[in-house]
Amino acid sequence: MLKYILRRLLQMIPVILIISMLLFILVQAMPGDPIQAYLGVNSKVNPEVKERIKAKLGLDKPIHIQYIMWLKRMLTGDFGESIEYKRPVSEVISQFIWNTFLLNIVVFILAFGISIPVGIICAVKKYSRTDNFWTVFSLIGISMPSFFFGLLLIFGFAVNLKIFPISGMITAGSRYTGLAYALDVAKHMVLPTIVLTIGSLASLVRYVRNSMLEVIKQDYIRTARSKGLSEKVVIYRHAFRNALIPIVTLIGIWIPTLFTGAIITERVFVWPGIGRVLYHGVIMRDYNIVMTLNMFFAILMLMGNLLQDIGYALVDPRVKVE
Amino acid sequence: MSEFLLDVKNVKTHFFTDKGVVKAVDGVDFKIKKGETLGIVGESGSGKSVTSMSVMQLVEEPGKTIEGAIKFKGEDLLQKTTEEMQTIRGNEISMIFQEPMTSLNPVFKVGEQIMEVLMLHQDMSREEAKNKAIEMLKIVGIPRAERVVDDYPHQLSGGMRQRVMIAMALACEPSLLIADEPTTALDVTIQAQILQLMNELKKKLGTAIMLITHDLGVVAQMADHVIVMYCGKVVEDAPVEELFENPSHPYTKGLMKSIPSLDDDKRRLDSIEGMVPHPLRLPKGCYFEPRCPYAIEKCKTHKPELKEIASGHKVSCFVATEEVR
Repeated sequence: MLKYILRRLLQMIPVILIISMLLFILVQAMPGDPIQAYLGVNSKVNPEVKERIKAKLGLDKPIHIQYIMWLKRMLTGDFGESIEYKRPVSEVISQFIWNTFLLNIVVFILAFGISIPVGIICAVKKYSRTDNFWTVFSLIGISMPSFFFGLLLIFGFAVNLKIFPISGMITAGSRYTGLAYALDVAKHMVLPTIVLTIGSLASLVRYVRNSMLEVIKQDYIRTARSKGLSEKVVIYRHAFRNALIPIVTLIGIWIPTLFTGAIITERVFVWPGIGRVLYHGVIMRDYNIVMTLNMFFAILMLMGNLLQDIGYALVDPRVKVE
Repeated sequence: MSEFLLDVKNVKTHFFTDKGVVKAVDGVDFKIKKGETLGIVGESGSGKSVTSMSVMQLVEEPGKTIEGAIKFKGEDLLQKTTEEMQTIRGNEISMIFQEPMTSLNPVFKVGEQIMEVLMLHQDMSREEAKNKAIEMLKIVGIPRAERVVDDYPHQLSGGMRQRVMIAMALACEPSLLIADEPTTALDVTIQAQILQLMNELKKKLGTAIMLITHDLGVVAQMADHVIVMYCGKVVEDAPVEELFENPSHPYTKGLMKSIPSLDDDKRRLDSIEGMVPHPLRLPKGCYFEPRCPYAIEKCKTHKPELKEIASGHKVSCFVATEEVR
C-alpha cells in the first residue's frame, strides 16, 4: 500500500508540471493590463514608469523565461506578491482559506451526516411519504440557484425577522474574543451554511438512495434475510457496507471542494473566503494569486483522486491497489 | 406433533400489482417428513420459488400470503411474528439459492458470513464460531478450510461458493433445508458433486430437503417424493418412482419427454408446445388446457381438482382421472 501511494505521488509530478504550463499560458493570454491594475485603474502614469514597473515585475521577458522564473520561485515556496493586496500571496491565501474551510467542513459534515441516513430510509421505504418528500425536496434543491435562495434567506431571516446577520463573518466593529467570538462567527455562518447544505443535500440524498436501492435487490441481501438476521442488521451491515462503495467516490470528489470555496455563495453573503479572493484576482489580473490558487486546486484535485482510490481499496475487498 | 415436519395446506401467495392480482401460488398443498427430500418441479413462473419464499415468510412486497397454513413442527409459521420467524430462519429452516456467484456478500469474508449465523442463533463467541465455521467448511469438502475461512467470496469458484452457502445453511443443523435450484448455475461436473454432497449431509444430519428445480434428472437423483407445479397450482403429487414409472398429468408427461435419452437417436428433443399463460390472463378452465394434446371439452370450462389415482399418487386432470376410472 505504501509503495502504491508513493508511486502515485511520483506520477503526479509530470501531471502537475503539464497543468502548470497550461495554466501559465492561459493566464498570460488573459486580456487586460496588470500594470494598470497595479497602479489603479484611473491613475495616469507616463509610459516610462510603466516600463520600469514591468521590468521590476519581470513581465518584460519572453513567456518561457517568465515560466521558468515563476517555476523556480514556486519550488522555493515563494509565490510572489499580490498586486491587489500588496502582500505576499501565501499570506493572502492563508488569511482567507481557513474561512472557506470552516464554512465548507461544516457543510460537508451536515450534508453527509443527513444524506446518508435519509438516503437509506428513502431506499428502504421506497415510494413512501418520506421518500416522496425527499424526491420533491431534491428537485427543488437542484433547480434553485444558490444566489436566489441565498437572497431569499437574507430577505426572510436577516432583513425581516432580523434573526441572523445579513452578511460578513463577524459583526463590524466588534471586538469579541473567545467564546463570544465563536458565537458571533457561528451566527454569521448559519445562512450560507443552509444554502450550501441544501444545495448539496439534494443530489447526495438521491445518490445514496439509488446506490442503496441497487444493493437491496441483490441476492446476498435475500441470503442475509434467510439467515434470520434482523432487518436492521440486513440494512445497516449487509446492505450499507456495499452501498458505501460508490459513496466513497463522492467523498473523494468533495475533499478538494473543502478548500476551493463556493464563489457565488461567498459573494452573496460577503463571506471573506478564498472563492472571493480568486474572483477578485481574476478581475484585477492578479497573476500571482490566480496562478497559485489554481495550482493549489489542481494539486488538491489530484490528491482527492488518490484518496478516492485508497478509499475504494479500503471498503471493497475486490479492489486491490497494485 | 404430527409425523410431518412441514405441512403446507392450501397456501395462497398473491402479488397485488397495479395491473391486477398475480396468483403466484394458488392453493398449494404438500407435506415433508423428517429427513425426507421433496422435489418441486415446474417451469419458470410456475410458483416454485414463491412457494419456498412463503415458507420462509420472505415474500417481498407487493406479495402476500393471504390464505392457508404452513405448519412446521406442528406450529403455523403464518401466525408467527417477524421476531419469531427470525429465530427460525437460518436456524431451523435455512436456504440455499441458485446463484452462488451473487448469493454471498462480496464485502465480508466467507468465514465471517458463516460465523454470523452461529453467533446469532447459537450464542457462540467469535472464537467458537470461527472454529465451527472451519469445521463446517471441512464437512462440505473445502480443502485448506483454515485459509478459506479468511477468503472473500470473489476469491472462490462458483462450486466452492455453493459449498460455502451449504456450510452456512447447515451450520446450525436445521431440520429443513430449502434448496432453490442449487445446481442450475453450476457446471455439470460440479453439479454432480454438489448433489452428492447434499445427499451425504442429509443422511449425516437427518435434514429434510425441499428441493426446487426444473431438472427432472436432479429430482430422480435426490427426491423421495415429487410435486409438479404449473401456474401456481400442484398438478401432480407422487412418490418419485411412481412419478417416473407412471407420469399421469399431460404436463408431467411433456416434461418427461423433454429429457434427453441416450437410447434415442432422435435429432430434436420434444418440447411442450406453446407458452406458459400470462399470469393475469389465465385460462378459465384447466390452466394447461391450451397446451394440452389430450384436452377435452370439459377442460375448457372446468378446473380439475387433485384426485388420488394410486396410493400416494394424486393428479389434477380430468382425462387422467377418468382414464383410471
